[in-house]
Order: sequence, then C-alpha cells, then structure tokens
Amino acid sequence: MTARTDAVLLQALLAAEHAAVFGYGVLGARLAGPQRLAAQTAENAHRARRDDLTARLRALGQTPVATRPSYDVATPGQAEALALAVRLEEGMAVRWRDLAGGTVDKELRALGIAGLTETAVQAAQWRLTQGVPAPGVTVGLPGVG
Amino acid sequence: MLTAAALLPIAGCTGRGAGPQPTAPPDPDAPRSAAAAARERALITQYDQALLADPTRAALLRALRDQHAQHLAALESVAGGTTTRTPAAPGGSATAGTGSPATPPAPAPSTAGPLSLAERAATNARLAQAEREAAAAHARDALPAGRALAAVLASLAASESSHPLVLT
Repeated sequence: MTARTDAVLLQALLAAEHAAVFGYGVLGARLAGPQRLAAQTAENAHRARRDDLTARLRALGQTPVATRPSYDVATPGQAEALALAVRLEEGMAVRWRDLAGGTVDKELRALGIAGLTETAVQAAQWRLTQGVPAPGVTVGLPGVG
Repeated sequence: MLTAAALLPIAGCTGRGAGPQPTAPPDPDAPRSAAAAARERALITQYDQALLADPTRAALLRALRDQHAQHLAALESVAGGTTTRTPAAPGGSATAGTGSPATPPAPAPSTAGPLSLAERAATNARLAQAEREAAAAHARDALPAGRALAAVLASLAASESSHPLVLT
C-alpha cells in the first residue's frame, strides 16, 4: 500500500470538516439551551479547522476541496441530533488518525494528534450529554473504525 | 537484537578481511513502543489499586482499565509480537491480556468501608493527572515514530485525553 500524500490526507480532512460544519448547523437547530450552545461551539471549532486546512492546502498549491451544497443529515429530534454529533466526531477521528499515521512531517503529525485528541474529547462530551453511563463515554482507540 | 550469527564473518567476503559484518540497524521504534507499553502498564496498576480501594466504582474503573489493556494490545500488534502480558484485573474479570499476570497477586479488597468523597476526589485527581501525563508522553514520542506506531500512539494520547472527563 502506497502512503497517501500529505495533500490527499488534508483534502480528506477538509471534506470531512465541510460535512461536520454542515451537520452541526442542522443538528444545532434541533437542540435547545446549553446543548444548542455546545453545538454552536463545536461548529465554530470545526469552522476553524476547516479554515486552517484550507490555508494549508493552498500553501501546498492545492485547490481545496469544496463543500457540497448539502449533506444527508436528517435529525428529526434531539436524540438523533446528539447521535449525529457523536457520529460526526467519530468520522473526523478516523481522518485525523489517518493524518497522524500517514504523514512523516512532524508538524502535520502534531496537527493530526491535536485534531484526534480534540475530536475524541468532543465525542466523549456528546456521549455524556446523551446520558451514556460513564463506563461507555470514552473509547480505547479513537479513530480506529 | 544482535544474534550470535550476526557476529560471524560471512564466507566469501573479500576486501577488508574476516571482521564482523554490519547488521541491520536496531529498530528505533522498539524502545518507543516499549516505553509506551510501560506507561500503559503503570496506568493499569493504578486502576487496579483504585478498584481495590473503591469497588463501588468498579464499572467505570474497570472500563477505563480495559481501555488501557486495549492500548497495550494495540502496541503489541504494531511492535510485531513483542511478548508483553496484560496483568489480570482484580476480581477475575476477562481482559485483553494473554498468559499469566505480570503483577503479583492482588491483595484483598479494602474492608475499611466506602471511600470518603475527599478520598475519591483525590483518587480521581491522581488518575486524571496520570492520564494527562501519559497522553503527553505518547504524543511526544509519536512525532519521530514510524507511521504505524505513530497512529497507535495518537489514538492512545486521544483516548487518555478523554479519560479525565469521567474521573469526576
């Protein structure tokens, strides 16, 4: 298996961040009070990652992958909204781990580890919000599908 | 690891004479994964101690301990079969470990009564700090590591960064 280039890994992350920004916008509308605030905070964090990844790709001479006009993220109610939030973070985790393990550039590897850590913590926070009992809130290997 | 055979002159070699031939360089990831495994074992020991002192929180402490056993197993698989043994948890629960426990038999659970809130808070603080320190060390060691080990260490760092959330 050939190693994917850094640009390919960053594009995959950017594509996932586009989906996360869109998804959080939809799911946030299904939440209220502190949960809605948490969704907005998470959405902002993903926007920041999206913008950073976009800048990195441009610096590499790449055309950053564009967002799609919409994503399939139906969230009829609160439970589905929270479940989507967890899934979005779990999906991001796979891409961040791919970057950490796929690059040999130390700065990008550190970025991958930081991204994986952030998303794992965020996923755990959403599981707490869902009311998952404490033993099930964290996972052993974030980013391993 | 050098073997005796590696030190023997190779027949048919010309030029400089019958000195030992250079061997393949030692795997630089071997000490890194060993260090990471040692960090995980130390955490497992801390959770074993916490389980003995606070059996009312067995579900949570065992779950976190099991995640560290998972970490050890992931390190083993990327290290390619280095023999490590995951210590068996007190109370005989199944873990990801193989073979006999590497730690001595656990002492009997405390009969001194339930933990006070202060004692539990102190335990949480200690465990959370240990998790953070391990996460930082894994993240640091991941930077120069080979790809496969880097991916594992990244997951370990991320997992351990999340553990303090439930140590409250």
